[in-house]
Amino acid sequence: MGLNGAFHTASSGIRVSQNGLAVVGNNIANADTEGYSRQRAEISAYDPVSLGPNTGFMGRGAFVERISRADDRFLELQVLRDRTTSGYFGGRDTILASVERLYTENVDPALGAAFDDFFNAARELTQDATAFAARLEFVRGAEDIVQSFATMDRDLRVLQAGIDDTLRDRMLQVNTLAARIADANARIVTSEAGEGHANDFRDQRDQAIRELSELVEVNVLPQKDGTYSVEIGNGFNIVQGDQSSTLEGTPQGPAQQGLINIELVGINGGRTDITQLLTRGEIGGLLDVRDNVLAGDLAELDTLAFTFATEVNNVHRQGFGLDGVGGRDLFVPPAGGAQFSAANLQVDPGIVADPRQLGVAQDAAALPGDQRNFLALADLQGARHAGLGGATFNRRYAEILHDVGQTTADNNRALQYHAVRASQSEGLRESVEGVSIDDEMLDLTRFQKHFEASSRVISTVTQLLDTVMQMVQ
Amino acid sequence: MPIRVTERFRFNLPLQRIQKLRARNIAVTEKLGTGLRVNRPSDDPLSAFKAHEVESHARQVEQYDRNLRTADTMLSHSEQALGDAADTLFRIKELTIQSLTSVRSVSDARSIANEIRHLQEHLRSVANTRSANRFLFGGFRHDIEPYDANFQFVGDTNVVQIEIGDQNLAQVSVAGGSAFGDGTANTVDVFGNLTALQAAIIAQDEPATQNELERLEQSIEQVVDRRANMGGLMVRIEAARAVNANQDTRLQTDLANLRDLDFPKAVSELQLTDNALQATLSSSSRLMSGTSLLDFLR
Repeated sequence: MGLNGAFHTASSGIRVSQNGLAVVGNNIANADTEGYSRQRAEISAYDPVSLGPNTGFMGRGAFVERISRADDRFLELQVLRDRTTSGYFGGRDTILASVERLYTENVDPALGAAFDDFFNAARELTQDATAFAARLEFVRGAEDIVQSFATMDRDLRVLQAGIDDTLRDRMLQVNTLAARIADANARIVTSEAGEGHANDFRDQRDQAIRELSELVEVNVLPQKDGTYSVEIGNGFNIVQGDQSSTLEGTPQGPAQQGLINIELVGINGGRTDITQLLTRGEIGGLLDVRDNVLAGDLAELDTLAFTFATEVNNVHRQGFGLDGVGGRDLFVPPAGGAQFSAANLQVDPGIVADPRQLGVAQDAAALPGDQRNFLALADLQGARHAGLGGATFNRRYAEILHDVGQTTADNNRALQYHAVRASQSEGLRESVEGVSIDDEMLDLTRFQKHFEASSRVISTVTQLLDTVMQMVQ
Repeated sequence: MPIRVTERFRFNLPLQRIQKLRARNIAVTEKLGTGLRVNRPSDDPLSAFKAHEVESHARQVEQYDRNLRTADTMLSHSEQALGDAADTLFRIKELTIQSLTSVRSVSDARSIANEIRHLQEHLRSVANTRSANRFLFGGFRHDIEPYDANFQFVGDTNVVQIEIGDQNLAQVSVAGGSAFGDGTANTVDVFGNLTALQAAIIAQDEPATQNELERLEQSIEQVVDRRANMGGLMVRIEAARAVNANQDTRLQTDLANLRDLDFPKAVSELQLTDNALQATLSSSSRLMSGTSLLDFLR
């Protein structure tokens, strides 16, 4: 080996430190890029040359073998799992808060108070069956209840429809993310065809998967060719190689109020309804609130309305109006033999027009002062109804209120816990994969010294060459 | 806590802490603003559940109180009317005794009978007493005068009852016709007796007048008895009002216990979160603007 060799060795050092500085520069530039993983120049020695038998080998400098990227699969998976869970509770959170507000602030009078007002109006009327104002007041109380039921029912359904809007938006996000993952897959395959890792495409892919995991539970299956297949909803491929499937919302029939089902449109065009399989992530949370919480609340409300209207009618029919006519219903039976429900209650228009028709009297011969049938009607408030599981109207409503509050409170607690967990695991991932300026400063100094030292070698070699040249002169 | 602190972590962590503290701060502020510990069911589902039942019960108690006031008014009007009726009957009794002891001339007898006639009319107007547009002594037929111009009873014999507590009905009138006669043998026919009495006095028929005086005693007994009955009912209503007021106080106390805020505790919590927030803000600002190796490398 001559001086020339030493020259080359030293210049390889300069190249390495330059590359190293470039990597440091890139890391610092991306210190705040979401999803960016710290990169490192991995430096290896060139194959040495043999100096002949028994002498050994002489090194020939160093080169950057590859730019690697901090990557911890375990932490990545942890992050995905935690984001899915916190996404679930986060998805439920805002809507549950709206549901709760609906029960406490939305309706005036609130349904619970409307029951009290209704029965109190009946009691007021028992003071004097002939008091026209008290009769009007009672009819107004009945109309308030009808209004409260209808408003609650309508607003719960509005929330359901609102969830559908959010779901459509989230499906769009899923589709975009799936396309991004498939795109990254394709680029990774092309870029890594020769060798090495396409770090930045991998970062993009991981970031897209992380975002996707917040919406749906994902199962990531790394393939031999460097691509990731991504499954959602229990084994349905949403990404495979460079191709992605899409989610589409399909409105159901009128029985389900036209709420949407989520269909997976496969790579080959086949459609599968996977609504029932999406139980986690934000989409899972939204579906749970729509199909379990809200649907349950609506059913409870219908039961309450049905029992109330039926029981009140049963008593009211026993009574006689001031006109001596008995057997009237207070609430009009729904058309077509349907059951009473929260949405179809209606106070008999005849009674609204003429409250004297109210069945206050028990005995048609004891008009007009007889108010004994309304004493019986007022007793309904304290009565326990088999249709409500042995509860009074008010108690059943309080139970519903309690359940709503409990669901929301549980979700708040779970969301707080899982949001902290998600940010912790994200922090852990960051601590391994993220950029620390201190680290980079050290590397910067290291490569700077490295560069200076290599330069010194070159200048020394140059001096030596000069010396040799002078010898020649 | 991660061992290696990265740039994003350095900024995200304080942000999360600050947000968490702000959320707590706002929650306490809301409670202080409303004075309630439970502002929505999720704040404390069980208390909200109980509070709802207590509120409902309190609204019922309010109505019972209104019913009690009405009962009180009706009963005291009835009682006053019966007192007036008793006084009138006593006056008639005096006149009758006078007619038996000191009346000699026909004209004296006529004038006494005439006065009794006027008193009988007065008694009819008493028996037709109204309270809030309702005739008190006609049972359920309280829309028409229970005693017509011929002193005939045209009401019914029902008792008006209203609810003054859970499963607690109170009588707020005497049974129709029970004070002045309902036209049956069950009651003393006060007006019929008075008519007969006048006839006896005009006829100066001493034995018949004596006889009528006895009947008059029965009439007085019936009215006084009804009046005493009213008094008893009023005592019961008075007692029920006291119970009701107590109950209302108790319910309000329950409600306060269930959802009212413990102010000193809330204020100290506010102070605590304020302090924590201040501390986090100042330490975060140092952490964020924080020095790195960068500042010391030359």
